[in-house]
Amino acid sequence: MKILVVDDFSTMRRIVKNLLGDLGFDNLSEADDGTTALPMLQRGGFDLLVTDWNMPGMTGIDLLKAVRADPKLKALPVLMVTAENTREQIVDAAQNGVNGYITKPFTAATLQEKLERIFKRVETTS
Amino acid sequence: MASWGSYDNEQYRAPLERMLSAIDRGAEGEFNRELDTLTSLREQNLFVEIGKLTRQLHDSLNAFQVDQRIGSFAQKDMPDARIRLNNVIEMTEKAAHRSLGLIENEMPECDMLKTKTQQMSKRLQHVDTPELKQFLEFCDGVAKRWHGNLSELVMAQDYQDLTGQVIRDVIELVERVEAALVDLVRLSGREFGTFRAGNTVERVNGQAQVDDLLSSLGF
Repeated sequence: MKILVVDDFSTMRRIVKNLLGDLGFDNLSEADDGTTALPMLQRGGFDLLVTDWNMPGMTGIDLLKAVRADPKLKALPVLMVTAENTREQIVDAAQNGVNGYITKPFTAATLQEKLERIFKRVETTS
Repeated sequence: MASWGSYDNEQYRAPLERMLSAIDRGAEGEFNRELDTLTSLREQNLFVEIGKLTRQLHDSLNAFQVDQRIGSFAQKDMPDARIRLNNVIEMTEKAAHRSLGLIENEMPECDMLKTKTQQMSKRLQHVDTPELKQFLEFCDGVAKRWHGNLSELVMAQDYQDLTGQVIRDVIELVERVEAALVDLVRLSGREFGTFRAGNTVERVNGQAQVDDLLSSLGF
């Protein structure tokens, strides 16, 4: 299971990587923006994208849209982890096909629960 | 004698009367000449109005830029505020990474403690020493608790991301205000003066230097 963690704050990337490592995921890559993340995803091999929303170059919502628009990537599970908590944004993400949405600050338990839910769904649909 | 605005409309009366008379007499050429007179009167009056407004604007802008502090604000204080706010983000980033590094170093040790404790428990399960069993249970419990707390500590570093985003918004606000001030000062026509880089305050770095300084002063 190869996971890409995208956030413009290096500390948040490190936190998420630590939490994922604790859950047994140790094949992790990171990117600091949607613009650097997209080519990495396009090179292939990723099973999950965990991304922030607010990033300077390409935002998380635009990254999500780009992923869903790419025929090679459109089925990639995407989990958003972000401080953005307006109803409008959550609906926007859902309408653009996000698989999970976690608002900051979050707990390790929440991350685990959302991941389990995503992979349970992926199992049932595959 | 009507006069409204700031110019005397009486000046229009004579040409108007001559125009009406020309219409009555069918004198087309005279009519057109008087119309031209009216038009050029109108243009002159407009120029006078515009001139007055321009003077008012100029005076206002001059009064504005006479306050040198505005320029200094745009050129020195705002950029300085941005730098300091960016420094705060850098400082919290360093602090959070420092904590994460320490935690990452201890996590494997903690897991190793749990593993070795369990291995030891298995090895010694036939040994009937209650204190030993208790000790191993204690170690197991501690290892589990530490693992949980280390995980919490990792999560607790999220303050850096959350505060950083807020600070970034403030920096953006400062940038917008700075740009507006710069535009305003440029609009007033003056060049930016050379503002002194500010009182460079000498700072002491670290406890050793503080102690040295105090010693040198006889304390």
